Amino acid sequence: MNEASDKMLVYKTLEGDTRAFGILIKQYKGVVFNVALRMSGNNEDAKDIAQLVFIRLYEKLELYDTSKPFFSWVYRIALNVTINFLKNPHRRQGQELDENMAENTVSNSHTIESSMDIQNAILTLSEDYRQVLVMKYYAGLSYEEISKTIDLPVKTVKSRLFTARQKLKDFFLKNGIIEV
Amino acid sequence: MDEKIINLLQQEIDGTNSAAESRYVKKLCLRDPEVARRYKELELTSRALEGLGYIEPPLSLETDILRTIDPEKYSIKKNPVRIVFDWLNKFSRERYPVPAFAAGLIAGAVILFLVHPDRKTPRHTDYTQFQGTLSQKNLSQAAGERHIISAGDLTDVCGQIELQNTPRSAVITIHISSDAPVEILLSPHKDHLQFKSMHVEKSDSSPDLSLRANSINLIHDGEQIYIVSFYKKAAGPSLLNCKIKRDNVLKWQKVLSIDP
Repeated sequence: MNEASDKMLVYKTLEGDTRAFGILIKQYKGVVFNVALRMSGNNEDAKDIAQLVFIRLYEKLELYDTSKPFFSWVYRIALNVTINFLKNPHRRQGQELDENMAENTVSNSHTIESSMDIQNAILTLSEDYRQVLVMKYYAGLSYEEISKTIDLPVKTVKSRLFTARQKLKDFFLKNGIIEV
Repeated sequence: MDEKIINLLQQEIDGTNSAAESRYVKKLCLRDPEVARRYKELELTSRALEGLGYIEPPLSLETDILRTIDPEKYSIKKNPVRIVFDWLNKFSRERYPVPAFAAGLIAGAVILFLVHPDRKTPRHTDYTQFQGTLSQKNLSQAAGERHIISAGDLTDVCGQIELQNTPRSAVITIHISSDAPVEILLSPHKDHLQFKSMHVEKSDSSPDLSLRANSINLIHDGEQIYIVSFYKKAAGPSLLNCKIKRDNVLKWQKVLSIDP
């Protein structure tokens, strides 16, 4: 994603050009959806969250500080919206990975069952650990980028990532997802 | 296990170790089976997480979002009468229909007075100015690398065009020539008040977001505000010549130098 063109698209959106906002959606919908999906573990929730994220982005676009990277602002909003969404007691029940998603998720090295186990393991992590892990694996951010996005020192990011991986490792070993 | 070693193991998994650090991790793994086991576990965990992969978002997502947002929210073309009407409508529905109606009449009269064409006495029939120097800070980027001049920079270092109370539909031509390739980009920005009232006359060869041309025709329509940014596309010093013409009369010409 090109930072300069993102900012240009922001300016154009602020001038009332919704096509420019459409381009921003195209550029970020994949990552936002995948982050929401891994945070929520539910396809429908992820779609709702992604929609809410872009609506919030549009509503708050005037507040975007152009001296900072646009992507980190997008991801920060994505995380906040997701966390608030997941706190809503009225959201649809059943957090487990749905079958359709599991089928799409399966890679060469995973069966549907193990993919569901991995996703469910991610859901067992507390929000603090889950968001760092999701930013790392499903938004592809570096330690520094995660640190900027969630306003934490790089050292804390690394430490949370390590703890998250340790917790998942225990779960994976226990459930036979990995064998050493 | 030592925090430093844990950190190195994690960085090795994430591919952020230096060559020396990688060698050190390998050495540690060979020497200490406990470290080797921890490394293996971390690596397998990481691979399992990567294996979940990327899921394509639903096709309808984009259209659903665009359907939901208010396209007029940032439109500077929003009619002021409409804004007042919306506000009054909300106000009268909620509580006070009669005062709202009276307020509407007064607001209407004020708007009519303000927007009446006779009030638009031009302060300047044409006023253009360029200030400052396009400095190295902003323009001597590596070849091919883009750099956006921010609104703040523009005030001091880039060309400014101010067109206040000029007649509608004036055609303004900016001619740029340079001894180095320069890309001209126009973008609307409502907060940048120096750039007023221009609309890019798009030619077929111009993509939506940028114009790669030496000459731009702008139609002043009384609504849009544009930032004019110049991107120098090659490294090193160069000269940038700008001419601005309005209504077929060359009003102004100046050479802007780009510092080495």
